[in-house]
Amino acid sequence: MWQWFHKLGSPRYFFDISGKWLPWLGIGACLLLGVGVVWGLAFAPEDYQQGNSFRIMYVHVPAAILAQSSYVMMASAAVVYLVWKIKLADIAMKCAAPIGASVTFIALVTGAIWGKPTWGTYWVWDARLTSTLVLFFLFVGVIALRSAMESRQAAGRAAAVLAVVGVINLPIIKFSVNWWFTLHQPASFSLTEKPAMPMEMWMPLLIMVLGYYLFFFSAWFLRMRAEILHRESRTHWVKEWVMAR
Amino acid sequence: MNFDSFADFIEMGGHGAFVWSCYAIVLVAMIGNIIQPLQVAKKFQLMQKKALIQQGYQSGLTPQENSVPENSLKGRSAKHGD
Repeated sequence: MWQWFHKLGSPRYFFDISGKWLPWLGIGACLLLGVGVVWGLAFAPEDYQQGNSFRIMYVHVPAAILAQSSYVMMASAAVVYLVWKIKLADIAMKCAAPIGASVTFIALVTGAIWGKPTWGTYWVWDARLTSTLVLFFLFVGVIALRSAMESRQAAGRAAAVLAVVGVINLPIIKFSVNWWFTLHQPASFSLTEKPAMPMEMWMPLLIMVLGYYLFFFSAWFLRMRAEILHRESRTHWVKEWVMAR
Repeated sequence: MNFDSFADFIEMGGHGAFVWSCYAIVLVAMIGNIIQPLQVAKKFQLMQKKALIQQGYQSGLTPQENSVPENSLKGRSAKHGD
């Protein structure tokens, strides 16, 4: 197990193995998202209060969940990089940031659009919306900090520190709906209780959540592979890879 | 099927604009996140290959046999050597 982790830390090994995983991740993501979208849009029953606008839930809730866990993944890579100085962890952290930013952007925009027919407004400055906006700025900040510095090592370290410090924001998002009075409803899913929705409503949501995760890993690995090629461009194996295509 | 007709499906009970714009935004963002790194990698590969061919790089050889900078250094030192 440890040996495997050690091997996985090598950019070349990760490049090879991710190339084998990617087709399956891509196919899985397409299948899950396809089934989830068709089920959620066309077959799930209408919500008795919100009508059909509730169908935005199937793209909004998975985005909000993934936005937070992609931050956790980015911050974990940052910790690994700070403690063990593993190059691949730096690459993972760098490549997670833009995807995390766009997933958070999806959560914010679809939430705002859903807010209009449901709450009567696109935006309120309440705890959950504001803390999710902060999450978006954290992702953008991590990207900007890295690109602002000349030395790759110093930039990686600074971005990693910011990413780790930003973890404070996650419990704030999580508990914002319980701590403060807010328009936003509490969690749709929990591990301990049965969902309040009927099965035909939550099943497509669950499928969409899984599909979003597979999308994230696909996009993440693609980005990491491009970054590995760039950073390892002087190595023999990258030259051979380049010439073989 | 929860809808009686295709027109009903597009209409989404009056919420069509909200629902469809959300799904369109997600589609564009996801496709962008997949296409972009693919393009970056392809562009890198094409540029590197061109540069390597210009340097006279031959695939299938060991790094030592292919080390162009070293050869040119040797050539230079030989000149200065005499």
